[in-house]
Amino acid sequence: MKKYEMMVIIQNDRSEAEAKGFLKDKVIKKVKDEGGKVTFEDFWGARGFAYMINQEKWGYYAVIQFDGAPEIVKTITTDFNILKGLVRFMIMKVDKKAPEPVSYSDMQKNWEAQKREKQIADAEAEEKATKPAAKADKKETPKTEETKETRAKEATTEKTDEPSVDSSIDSAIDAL
Amino acid sequence: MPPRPKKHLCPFQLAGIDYIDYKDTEMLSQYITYYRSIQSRFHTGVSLKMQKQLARAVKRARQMGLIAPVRYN
Repeated sequence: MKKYEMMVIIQNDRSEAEAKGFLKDKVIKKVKDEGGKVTFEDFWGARGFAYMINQEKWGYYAVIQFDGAPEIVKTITTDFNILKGLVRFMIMKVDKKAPEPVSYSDMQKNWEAQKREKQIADAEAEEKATKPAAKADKKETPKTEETKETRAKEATTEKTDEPSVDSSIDSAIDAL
Repeated sequence: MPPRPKKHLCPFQLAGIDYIDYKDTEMLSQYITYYRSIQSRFHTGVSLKMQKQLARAVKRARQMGLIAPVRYN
């Protein structure tokens, strides 16, 4: 027994209730008849394609997870290749590291929460970027005056020495 | 001596992500370019292990019409 996941796109020439019926009567029934155990099913509803598939722009999506022998995958694929009303389907092994399946509505909620968190984080980062700049401006103005005063004192007492000036600038930079 | 450049860290490793789901299109869209090609490891800093998973996830999403394979305009 291995874990498998199947994604199905149902044709858009029917209503949502009919698409749900198609999923139950044709897709899930076929898996159960072959001896598979359906552990998770999630009907996404109507969703637009990222590109045209069979001259159509949208379809009904659904995701199923099932346990079964590896041989049933072949029989299911041969059957579904002929089945009318299925636009596309894909069967894949579920990774060992994969967490428990999440429904599409929960996934959308997670995306919205992540977007909100990002917005808050960006706003905080902007505030931080603006505040220290303002502080630095305030700090810089008195320090430049001090350096000017020190330079004036040095000038009055002795002739100006370049290394002393440099050291004062370095100390000011360190203080910043 | 110029300071050593910072080591590239895998964004998935930093976030503690072990597995990439092909249905999470919001996350996948961060790792594809404007013309919808998979972004290289050189630019994103993703580890080789996760880049292989990422490529597989993007290709699966493309096959099921969740992500466009190419953008022309």
